[in-house]
Amino acid sequence: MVGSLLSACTDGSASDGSETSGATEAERAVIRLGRRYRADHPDEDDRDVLLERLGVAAGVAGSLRFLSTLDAQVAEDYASGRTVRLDGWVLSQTEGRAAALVSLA
Amino acid sequence: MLIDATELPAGQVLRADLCVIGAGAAGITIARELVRSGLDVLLCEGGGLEPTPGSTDLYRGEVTGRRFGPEGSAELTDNRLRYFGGSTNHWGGFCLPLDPIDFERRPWLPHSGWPIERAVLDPYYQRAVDVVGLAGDRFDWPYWEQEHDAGTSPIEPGRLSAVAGQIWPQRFGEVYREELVASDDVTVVLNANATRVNVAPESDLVTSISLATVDGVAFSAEATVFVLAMGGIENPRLLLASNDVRTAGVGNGHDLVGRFFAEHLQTLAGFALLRGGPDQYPAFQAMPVAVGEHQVALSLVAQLSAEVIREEELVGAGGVIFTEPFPAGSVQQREGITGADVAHLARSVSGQAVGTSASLLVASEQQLDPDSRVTLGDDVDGIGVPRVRVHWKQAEVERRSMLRFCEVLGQELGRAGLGHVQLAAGGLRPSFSSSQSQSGSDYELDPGAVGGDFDVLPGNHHMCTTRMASAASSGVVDADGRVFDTANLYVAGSSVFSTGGVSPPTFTIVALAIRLAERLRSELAS
Ligand SMILES: Cc1cc2nc3c(=O)[nH]c(=O)nc-3n(C[C@H](O)[C@H](O)[C@H](O)COP(=O)(O)OP(=O)(O)OC[C@H]3O[C@@H](n4cnc5c(N)ncnc54)[C@H](O)[C@@H]3O)c2cc1C
Repeated sequence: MVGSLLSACTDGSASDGSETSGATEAERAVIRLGRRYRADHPDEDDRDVLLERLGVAAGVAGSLRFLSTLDAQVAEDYASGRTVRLDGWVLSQTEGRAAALVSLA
Repeated sequence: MLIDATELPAGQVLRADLCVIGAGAAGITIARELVRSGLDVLLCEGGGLEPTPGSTDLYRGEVTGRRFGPEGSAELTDNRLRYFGGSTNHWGGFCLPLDPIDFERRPWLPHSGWPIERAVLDPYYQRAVDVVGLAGDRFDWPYWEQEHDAGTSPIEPGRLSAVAGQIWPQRFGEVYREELVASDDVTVVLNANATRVNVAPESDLVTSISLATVDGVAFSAEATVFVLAMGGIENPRLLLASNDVRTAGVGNGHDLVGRFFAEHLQTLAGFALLRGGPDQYPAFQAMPVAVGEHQVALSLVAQLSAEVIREEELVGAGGVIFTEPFPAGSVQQREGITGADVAHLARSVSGQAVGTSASLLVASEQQLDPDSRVTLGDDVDGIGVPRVRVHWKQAEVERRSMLRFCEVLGQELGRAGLGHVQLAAGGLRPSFSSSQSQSGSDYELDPGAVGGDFDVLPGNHHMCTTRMASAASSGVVDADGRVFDTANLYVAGSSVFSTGGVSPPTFTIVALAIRLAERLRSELAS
């Protein structure tokens, strides 16, 4: 089964971003993604650039909770084909930038 | 009636109004259409009712260029069967019609365009439904979703289309043998291998076809009209081998017989992580559907829409999402962004947990290339016919279209809030073809290696080698399937396809065979 693609996340115990040990794992995952995005997009390896391109205020950005505010923007990205490829994963531009911002926090 | 040619005396001449060579999907369909026509029809099949080593050996040949299978495998005998029923004795039964765009001239694809439009085939596709044993002539997923509870497709019309592949592996030989044998009009001749198409000098007519048993007993068939229906590799082989009077071979005045050999490329191109459990995705599992007496399995196929193909100058590509273990077993990824990372991201954004992994099995059409071709080899087979040499070529646009399909599918799943796609083709070890991945192989994925000239398997669909065209300068047969320079010789099967499309060929082969039989009936009646 391709279950190993999912590793710890298939059993429903995936983190919700709160202060549990699961949250740490979730944060680590998003930070890995963010670093990767920044490496692939050196022109966006900057907090201010990312904040501006995401159209969000500095105060709200940076934690995992902030990601959940981007749901509609993410869907809009996919609908308009605004995606990036990170290690083969097709991610919305907003997902990539938001993860990059978290990784800079 | 049934004749076994091994019981015929050497030199026997069989006579009929119509002589069809080859009893696969095409030949059997033509013969059946002419049952009770009042015409005398000979259906000459090289093999018997079961495969034999002697008959199978006649299919051996040489493959140069791209491989059909792993080095050392029996590439030209594994992908065809030489006995009554032909390759439908082991085909998968996956059926879809060609799309309207397949018939168009697409300026970015050299040699594209058919001399007929898709609408010409519509009535014949309808009739082909019963011949193949399908559950109706609807192939749009929304119809099956609404009328037969076939599960919701996440694909909205736009950049992708959602079509319903109908799967029914009709065994033409078994199912239609009795009917043909009982017919007064049709004589099935088994163990009758065509060895040459005979044309008279200075004439545009075929006079006879030379035949032989595998033991070399020679006889022949004379008829008013002849049809070659021996499959996409043997049709050009026999035309090329018939080079005693016309030295380049019959129908080869423009050096086009055997050129443009096309296949379908297939590969495990990627994976998907989907929200919720597999039960939420019934459309991603082949679903049995019964309509009247016909029962098929339905498979949701997503395809690049005609708009995307045109805008981005691609070839047709599409695929199936499997939530079952097929075709991948476990996938290990040591470096880079993993599925677990993406699942965490998805959960953080949408609040929903990922619960289903899926594999993306993707196929593409081929861009036609005159150097991808069937020619004659240096050796001859046991009955004196030069063995075949197949030089298979592939083009960069084919792989690009497959990966673009995966990307657009990822965008569609993301838009619907259902999940994420990872492109994997090129990064899998072992490679897809060497793993013979039908059985749930385990893979290691190196995401840095994704793309490039990744590994594919052929669909076992041999097409375009006697392609249909509006003029002899660009094809071998005309819009009716008649060989341009030979008035009483027709070709049937996927060798007449002008381009291959991305749909599997057999449903179209049957539709074209019904159309040809209709034409022959009126031609021979007058
Ligand atoms: C493993 C496999 C799976 C497939 N799955 C699918 C699928 O899911 N969907 C799909 O659409 N297609 C599929 N195909 C392709 C499908 O089998 C062919 O498209 C179809 O059988 C072609 O029909 P045909 O009549 O043109 O040729 P064939 O079925 O190849 O029949 C040709 C006949 O001619 C005979 N013959 C050959 N040479 C001579 C000669 N010199 N003299 C006399 N007789 C001769 C042969 O013995 C044979 O009976 C698959 C093929 C394979 C190998």
